[in-house]
Amino acid sequence: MNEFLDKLGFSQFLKSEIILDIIWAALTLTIGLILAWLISRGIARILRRRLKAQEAMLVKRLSYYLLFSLVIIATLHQLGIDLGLLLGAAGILSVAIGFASQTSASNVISGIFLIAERPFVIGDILEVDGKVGEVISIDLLSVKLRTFDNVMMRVPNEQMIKTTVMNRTRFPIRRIDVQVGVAYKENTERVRNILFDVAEQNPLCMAEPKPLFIYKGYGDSALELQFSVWVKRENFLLVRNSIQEEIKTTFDKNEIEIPFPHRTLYTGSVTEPFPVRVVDGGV
Amino acid sequence: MNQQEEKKDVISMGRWWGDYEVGTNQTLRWQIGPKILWISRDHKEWKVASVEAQEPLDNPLIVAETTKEPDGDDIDVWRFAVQSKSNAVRLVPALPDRPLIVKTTKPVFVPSMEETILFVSIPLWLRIYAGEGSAELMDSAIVRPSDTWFGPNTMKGDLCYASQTSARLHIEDLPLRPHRSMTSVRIRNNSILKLHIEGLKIPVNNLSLFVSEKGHLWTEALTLEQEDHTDKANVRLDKKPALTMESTLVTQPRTKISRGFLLDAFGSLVAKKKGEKNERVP
Repeated sequence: MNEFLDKLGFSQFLKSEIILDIIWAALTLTIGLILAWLISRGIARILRRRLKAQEAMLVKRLSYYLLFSLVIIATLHQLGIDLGLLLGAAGILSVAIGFASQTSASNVISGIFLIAERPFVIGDILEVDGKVGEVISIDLLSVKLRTFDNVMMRVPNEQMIKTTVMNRTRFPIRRIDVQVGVAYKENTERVRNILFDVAEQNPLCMAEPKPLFIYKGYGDSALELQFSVWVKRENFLLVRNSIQEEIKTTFDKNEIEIPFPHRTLYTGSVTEPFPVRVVDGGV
Repeated sequence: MNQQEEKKDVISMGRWWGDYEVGTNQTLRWQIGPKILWISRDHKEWKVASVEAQEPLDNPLIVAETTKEPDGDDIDVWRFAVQSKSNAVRLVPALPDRPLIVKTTKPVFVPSMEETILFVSIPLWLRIYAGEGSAELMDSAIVRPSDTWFGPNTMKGDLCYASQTSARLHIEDLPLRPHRSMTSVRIRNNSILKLHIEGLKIPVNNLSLFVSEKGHLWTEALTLEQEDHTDKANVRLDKKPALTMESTLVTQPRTKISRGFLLDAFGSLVAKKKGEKNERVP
């Protein structure tokens, strides 16, 4: 058997330095990548207590990429590839790559600014370009949001820097503005007291800051009012629904009219009353 | 004793908390202030139901009355599946899980180097434990107070509960109710400026609950001291409630803290510049 292998020159091949280098390089690459993954994970775990979630995630990724680069350099060195030559080529290439990757570079820099400025963190609810979603990750190139209909939305970091982003969960309390219209015949003082009673009866509406009652103006068909209540951030959606229902129920109970748009028909220069006939059993 | 005083005495003397036995397929009913509570025991479950009475203040205190299982759309029901055969149930009064903001009927000034005692009525929470291991089934407000915000602005501050009743200078002005406990707050103004009090933040989540010899629920006495050099009040907790000769500890505080700490007890939502809270003596 050995003779047969010798004839083929396989034993010599196995003993050759090239194959040994390849084996060592493969080992360095495998063990190196596993170690890089474990070390970056360990660093993130240690820093998680001190840093915010997205900062820990960024440190984890950066440390992984750094270690990954070192492993690749070590592997190439093991294979006997001249790194100087490679870096020289990389220098020339980087100019070309730089032009080609303008967008990516801009996103990376924007990402660093986003992390430094910290306008939002993972778990916040953001409104970007009229779309609302929960931040699930802040990466080097983009911010990923989960919209409420469970769709993943990827917003490039550059866009996050350029456009207006509203963070709906930054502060612990929020105001709910309810637009109410009441008939002109209603006593506004009574309406005001009823609205304040509605807020007082709902324990999720805050006593302080006090609810707001604002005259918005004289509308086409109704006195336009705004009633605003403050709630704990987590109760926003719940109260936004319940308060409207409670206002409607209380207005009905107190016979306060919420008018629908009125239109007066004018049929010519002299408007005569419209003839109306009540027919027995008519439809 | 007139009829009204007699009713008040009956309410204040009644103890609704303690250990009870609910037989299998049996329902017991409690009425604690405005809250009506039913606890039922089945072979494999505990059922807790509750509703708020329509006219709360006129209802008497009912303790462990045997009745049938409640039925109605407005009744909230919670079911707890268990394997244990124990029929023991324990009702425990507790204090709120957040600080309580209580206002005075009109702003009160405490002159420099003076002190006063304010009495505050605190809404109670109800804890229900069941079975041999006394597993907690519920911990909820008997009557949920409104949320409120206590801080310099809408960005910074603490989420608290708003008290429905005001702090009073005379204890007689605060009616005793089975679903509320009492606390006394001694306010000592050690600063050279008069202290303006519109609202107080009471750290009820750090207080214990005691029962007096008359069956009234009290927290330990609280002292708030305002000094010159700080915006925060120095809080001291006594070991026992004030005004009671004998008292027994019923419930430990939700969050234990040291007996002395600093608290922004006299702040308010209306943002005030530094030095504006205490007013100079004219």
